[in-house]
Amino acid sequence: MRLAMYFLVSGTFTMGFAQGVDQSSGTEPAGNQQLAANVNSRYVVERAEIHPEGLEHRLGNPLLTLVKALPGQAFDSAAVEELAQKIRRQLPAYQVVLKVARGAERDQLRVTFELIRKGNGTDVVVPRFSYHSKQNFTFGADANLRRGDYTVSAGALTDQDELMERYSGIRFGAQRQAVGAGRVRFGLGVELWRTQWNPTLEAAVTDAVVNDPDAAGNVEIYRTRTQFRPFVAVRLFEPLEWEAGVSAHRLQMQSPAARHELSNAAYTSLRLERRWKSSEREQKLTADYEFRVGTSTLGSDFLYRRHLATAAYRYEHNHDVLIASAMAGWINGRAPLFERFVLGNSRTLRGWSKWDVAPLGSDQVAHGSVDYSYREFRVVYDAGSSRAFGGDRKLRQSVAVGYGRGFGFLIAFPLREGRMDPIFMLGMNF
Amino acid sequence: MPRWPIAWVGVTCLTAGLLLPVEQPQPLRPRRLAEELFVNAPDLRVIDGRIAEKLKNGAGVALDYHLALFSGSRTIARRRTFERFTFSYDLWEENYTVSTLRKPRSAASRMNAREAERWCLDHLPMKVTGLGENDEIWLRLEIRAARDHGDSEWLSEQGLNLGRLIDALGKIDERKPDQWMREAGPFRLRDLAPGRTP
Repeated sequence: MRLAMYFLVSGTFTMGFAQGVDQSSGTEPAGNQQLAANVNSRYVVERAEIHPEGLEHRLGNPLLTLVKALPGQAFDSAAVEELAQKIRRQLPAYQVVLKVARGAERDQLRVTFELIRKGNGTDVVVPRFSYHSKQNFTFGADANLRRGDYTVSAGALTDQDELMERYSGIRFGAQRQAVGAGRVRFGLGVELWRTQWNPTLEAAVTDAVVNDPDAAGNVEIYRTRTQFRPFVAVRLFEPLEWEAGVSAHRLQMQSPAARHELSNAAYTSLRLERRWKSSEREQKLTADYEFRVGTSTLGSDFLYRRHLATAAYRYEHNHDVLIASAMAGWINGRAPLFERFVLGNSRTLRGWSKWDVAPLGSDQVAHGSVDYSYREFRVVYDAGSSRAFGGDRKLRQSVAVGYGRGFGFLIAFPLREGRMDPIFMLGMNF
Repeated sequence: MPRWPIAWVGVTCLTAGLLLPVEQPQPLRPRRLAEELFVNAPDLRVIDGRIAEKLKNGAGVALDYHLALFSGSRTIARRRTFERFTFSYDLWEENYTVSTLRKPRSAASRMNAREAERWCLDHLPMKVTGLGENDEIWLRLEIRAARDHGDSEWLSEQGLNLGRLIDALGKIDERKPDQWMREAGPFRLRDLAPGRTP
């Protein structure tokens, strides 16, 4: 624990590297952390190659430029490993083996990224599994069949955590990766969902019909939701990806029966993901901005604009993990319920029930969260503010304690006066 | 057919099996220098197998050393000392370098694998100030490779990958060598003259 606190307080570590047989140093010689962490950092990269030859073009210019820039630089094992990780992410159909060996000249090293094509394979992934004492179970499984650059997937899901509704059903997807020198991927998804609504939300809809006709027109509930979503994603440069597509929904409305409405939106998003990794610590920054517009040009009955910006920073050192995240979003116009923002689930305002925060979802939200864990013990603080249909904004806060980072549980409490009902969550990735 | 030859062979095999030496890890050898205890682990090979392979591929490897001292009972540690050592292998000079993380920072280079392992133990002192000379003492050394997020992580932001989980479960035995444990004791401080083992 003392060591962990030391890491947390000191923040940065620049270790001294002493040449010679044994040398203790209170003073730090000039040089970077890598110099201390890896003795080979005093050597220079002589050659950097992609094997087998002929696969270089699949990398795309940004990554290839980074590989080609290695010769002449001081060897940095963390940077080279990070480059290998980037190649793995860009070429998921290949296994990337990093090999470092002596160069032809003294004090020089040869770096080889060996690409081995993975066989055609099938993965079964459980994207969500959680129990929430207010929302019950959320569970899904996807089977992915990979053939070269093509991936076909099929899955089933029942989810009452992400949106105001419980949606259950099946989904299919097809995707081609690494087109256009590895920078472009495109695909499409088809989703067939049946919805269930919480009585609190149904009561709020009834109440809106009686008391607030403006809101009532905005919050119609539906029985089924079918989505068709073609998209294209382009890696503009290494940490930044742009995606654009169309999200076409057909909704079977609850009443009157057999009435359908279309919610067709064009969307575009920018996603930035950056990692810094050394032998001692790892940092990751992700930022995402998405803009959706429901427009009559696409035949949509719902006309709206939706902005959502999220950012997260993760710092991991030894047994300490600190994650700070923020989210802000707003909607203009009449958006369907599945587009409305949710606070009070397993990832936001964890001590609150989403049906207490805003039973019909929110059209403006701001949320921040600090999540710290030492080994498997975890403490989370959330603060969020939301607004629905021009009502008042209210800041809400909650704290949660728990055990387990990837898979574990949390007990969350709302910070408010009066009675505090804890919320229990069990599962993964929340 | 007489059964005695079969019985004779069976008894011989059983006796031989019982008498065969079972390879057991050697206990730690503590030594005292003034008010500090140090340990030796004669048969402990940390730089071996996958770790040696990784080092010889130019990568750095961090190992967490944790030494615990028990007195009175073996359930609650009375003293602890820990350090993270970062190893690297000089690809041209073909020798090892080790450095510590905490201040005062130390590093040593141009060592072979055994010297590097020994250097780490020599930089893991356990204070014995305040312990009775006649108290029974046990020591436990645990070494663990620092967690590495590999490409094969089965639980990620994308979810739980059942294929990788099965692979990971299948590789549990392969991963065991990345953790080591050795113990010593019981012994008394009074038996530890400077530089002597009990």
